[in-house]
Amino acid sequence: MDGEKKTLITNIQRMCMHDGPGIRTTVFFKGCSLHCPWCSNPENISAGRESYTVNGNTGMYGKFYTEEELYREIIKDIKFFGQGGGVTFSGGEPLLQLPFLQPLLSRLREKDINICVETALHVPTESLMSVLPYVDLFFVDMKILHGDMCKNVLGGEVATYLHNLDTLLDRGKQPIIRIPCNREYTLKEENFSLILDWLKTHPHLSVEVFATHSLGKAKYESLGKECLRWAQISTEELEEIAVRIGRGGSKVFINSI
Amino acid sequence: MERINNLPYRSVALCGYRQKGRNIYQQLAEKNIRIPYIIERNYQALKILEKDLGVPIVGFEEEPAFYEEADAILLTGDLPEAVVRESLELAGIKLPIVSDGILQDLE
Amino acid sequence: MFCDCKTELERNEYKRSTKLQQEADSWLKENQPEFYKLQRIGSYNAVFDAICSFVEIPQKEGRFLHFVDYRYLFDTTRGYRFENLTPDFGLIVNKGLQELKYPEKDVTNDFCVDYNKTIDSMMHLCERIAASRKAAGDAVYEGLFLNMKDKPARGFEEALQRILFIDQLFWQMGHRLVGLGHLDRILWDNYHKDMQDRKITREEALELLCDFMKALHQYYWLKSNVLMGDTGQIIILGTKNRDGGYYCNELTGLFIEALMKVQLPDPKLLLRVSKDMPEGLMKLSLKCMQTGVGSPILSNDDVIVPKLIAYGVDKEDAYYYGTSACWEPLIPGKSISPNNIAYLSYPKVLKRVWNHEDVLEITEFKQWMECFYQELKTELSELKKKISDYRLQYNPLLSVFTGDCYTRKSDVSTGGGKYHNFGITTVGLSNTVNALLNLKERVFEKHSLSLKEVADILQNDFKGYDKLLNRLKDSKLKYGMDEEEVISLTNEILRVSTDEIREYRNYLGGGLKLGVSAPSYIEAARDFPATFDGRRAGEPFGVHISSDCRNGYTELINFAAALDYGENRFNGNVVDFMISPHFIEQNFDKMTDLLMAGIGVGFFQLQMNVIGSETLIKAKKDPEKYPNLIVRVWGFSAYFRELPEEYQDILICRALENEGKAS
Repeated sequence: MDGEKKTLITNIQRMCMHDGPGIRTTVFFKGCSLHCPWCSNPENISAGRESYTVNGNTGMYGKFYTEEELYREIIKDIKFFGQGGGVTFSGGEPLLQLPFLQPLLSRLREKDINICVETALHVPTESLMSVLPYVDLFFVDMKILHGDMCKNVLGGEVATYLHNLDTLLDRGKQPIIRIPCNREYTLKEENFSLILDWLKTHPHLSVEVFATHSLGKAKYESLGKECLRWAQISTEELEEIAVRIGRGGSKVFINSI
Repeated sequence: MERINNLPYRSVALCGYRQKGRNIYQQLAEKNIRIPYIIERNYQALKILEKDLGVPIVGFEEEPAFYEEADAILLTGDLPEAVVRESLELAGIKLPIVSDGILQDLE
Repeated sequence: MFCDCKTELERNEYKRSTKLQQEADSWLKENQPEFYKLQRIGSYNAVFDAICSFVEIPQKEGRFLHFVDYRYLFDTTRGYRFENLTPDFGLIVNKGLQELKYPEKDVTNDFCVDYNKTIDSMMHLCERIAASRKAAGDAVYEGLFLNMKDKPARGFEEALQRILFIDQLFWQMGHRLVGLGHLDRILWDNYHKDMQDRKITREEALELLCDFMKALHQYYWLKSNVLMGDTGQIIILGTKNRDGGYYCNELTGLFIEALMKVQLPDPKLLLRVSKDMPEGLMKLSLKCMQTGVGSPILSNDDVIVPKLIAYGVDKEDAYYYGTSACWEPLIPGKSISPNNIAYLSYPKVLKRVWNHEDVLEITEFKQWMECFYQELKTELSELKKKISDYRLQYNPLLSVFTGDCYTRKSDVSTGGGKYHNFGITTVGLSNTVNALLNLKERVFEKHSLSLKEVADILQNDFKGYDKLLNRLKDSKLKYGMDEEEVISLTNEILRVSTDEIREYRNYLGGGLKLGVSAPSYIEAARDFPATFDGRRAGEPFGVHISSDCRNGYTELINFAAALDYGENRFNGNVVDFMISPHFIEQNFDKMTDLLMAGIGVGFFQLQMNVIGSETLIKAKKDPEKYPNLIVRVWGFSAYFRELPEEYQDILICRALENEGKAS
């Protein structure tokens, strides 16, 4: 792709310690194919630049980067990546823009930089396929597997999602499954039982569970949007959820504050 | 009273040889005022300068006769005046003590 | 009266109020008129001898005996007091006092006479202490002090006590910020032999080190400089090996463990690090830092040793470097290097430019910088003049413990030491770089403000310009970012500073070093007007090499590694950042990796401010006072001030749990 093509990014966060192994630089793409009501990075949902207001000051979410600029930013911390660290592509939905950045991915691979992708997998399978060979580790969200709920609440297609997940597995990738837990949607029995069933058939995959939170409140306010409140999920409840999943054979980690 | 270069003293010893003392030494030397010795509490460290200055640098423990070489002791202001006056008194040095204010009388 | 002070807090306040010196003086006048007179007019040795004869020997408060009698402190108006030093404590561990003396036939000048007299006085004090111990029925310590007169230390505990004895003499003689040097090496033989002979166990050795630290800390109310706790009692640990690899021993780890155990802010530890160091040692250090105790500070041999060698320090000595009080490299026992005799304020240079009569005529940034460099040279000229009269105090005590004085038969104040470089610190570089970058962008490139407008805004302390102030603070290019433009401007300023002082020689023939760290970031800024980096009048200048770390510590370390520490620019350059103990705990291994990688990246020195629950609580109450506090939340690192309240509470709660203070 020509060097002038620009990618829309909201943030490049260096020294991330929990977006994959080692020390990482996380690139947050703007634009998502879903609109999860619990999203903690609402500024990453829409695909264009957006204005925000904080303390009476206005600004814009989203900055355009050329491939070269993005590459330069990522390799700034190359000496800190060590064996396991590297770059994590997140967002929004990184698989919407990453297919256009294959040369970048190639360059990063040449430098032996570990590449992680955090995705909800609600993307065209071709997008996934074009990026797949470059990625060391996928973090895949598993939110709503109930078809109607998925369409109505998230704006997603379960079939596409499951097909993409199978594609990953067929290609020998072992994604880490991330489950955002909230009573309002994902833990509703008609959905959660589907999640349990799916995980039971793939017990070798690691699972992370976490409680949906309102940490992105400030961002919602900056966009003039409402931040929903979520019923508290205690650590004990998360533990119970972990146990339920664990019965199917999966290894489960609890991510809590 | 005889005045040399407008000072009522033929020879003046300095007490305190640091930043101010150095400047005053220069001033007096240019006016050919004799400086028979310099008193400094840190005299042992400053002995190294004696050769260049051509002037003995001493503490407070010399024989009284030694100090009487000078007509007066000029406090350069490098050390707190009260402390120095007290030291001179404790050392039994009975010469007139003047502060650097008299330098403005220099021709 | 001082003796009425019952608690440490009261003593600290009393001492801070400087009534202590006056009280000591009037007490002496009344009770010890002869000593008082001697102090005013006697020679160094006469006073030292009297001090050794008069200091009151207290009962032991802990295992060791360590005391400073504040009534008999040596009057330091005798000369420029030598602070920020590290005597060679190895000498007293490996030899008896008698063995340090000149044999009669070798006494060929006044210095040798005074040198021997000094040792005689010390021996007399040993005898007095031995007698006091005998009266207390303490045969062991009676023997110990008598042994110090003419034999080497016979064991680990004895070696530690000897160090405490000599150390207290330096404080007694008015020195400040007395460092302790490479204790893991100095004490190794005694420790190792005691272990081999099964005279002590590792646990007992740890207890001894804890007691040693407590003893050193006992008088911190008197030892503290401007701020309580700032005593400069720094212990150097670990070293990169000359022939490759890294040297540390059991004592290296034991010292760190001891500090973790005693949890005192003083003494402090400095760990010399290198890419070849064992990861386990880094982990132990991180554990120690995590407790919030403030130590160890890390000093990167891979960067520093080559710089010292390039500056002219002998290779062997360069590998033996330590630091004065905080971070300024020196060679323990060999350097007569007052490392912080003055500070250069970069904002002051900028202010000089503003005070030019045709400053408002400047139309290009290039012109502005030319003016800046001219003023920098002027400022440095004045500084050189100011320090040119610096003459060290005659000091046979320090000469005994400074290697080359014996062979040269010359006191430290007359060139007896081996290295005689002076050092200055610099303050406000971050504020200056940021102000310059802001001027460049807003005045000379975008023309959004004129110089006159900026001058007025600064004069009026940003009154009515709050938005601008915030935008200036939030600039895209700032000190601490690993951006080419910032790095090259910073380096250019540093190199011009060197240009002006490169040829300087002090009265002992030494040069002048500088560094970008300074303790004076509050003092120098107190009465200083607003600066164009968004700093209001009176607010402190930036601390060392720090930033708001928006992009993580990796950016700051990259920036620090890109600075040019060559020539004389090695007088302390510390990366400083805030971190919560919770963050370290949750990311311990990765933080270890970060620090190990940072050594390779090339920071000069590094220290972490580990903040506990108390600060979190305060930060919750006054968030604007803690803008840089990073805490760990799942999924991302967050600025504490940006977290919704309920999450701040969770963190505070966790922190309290961590510290075992949960309610």
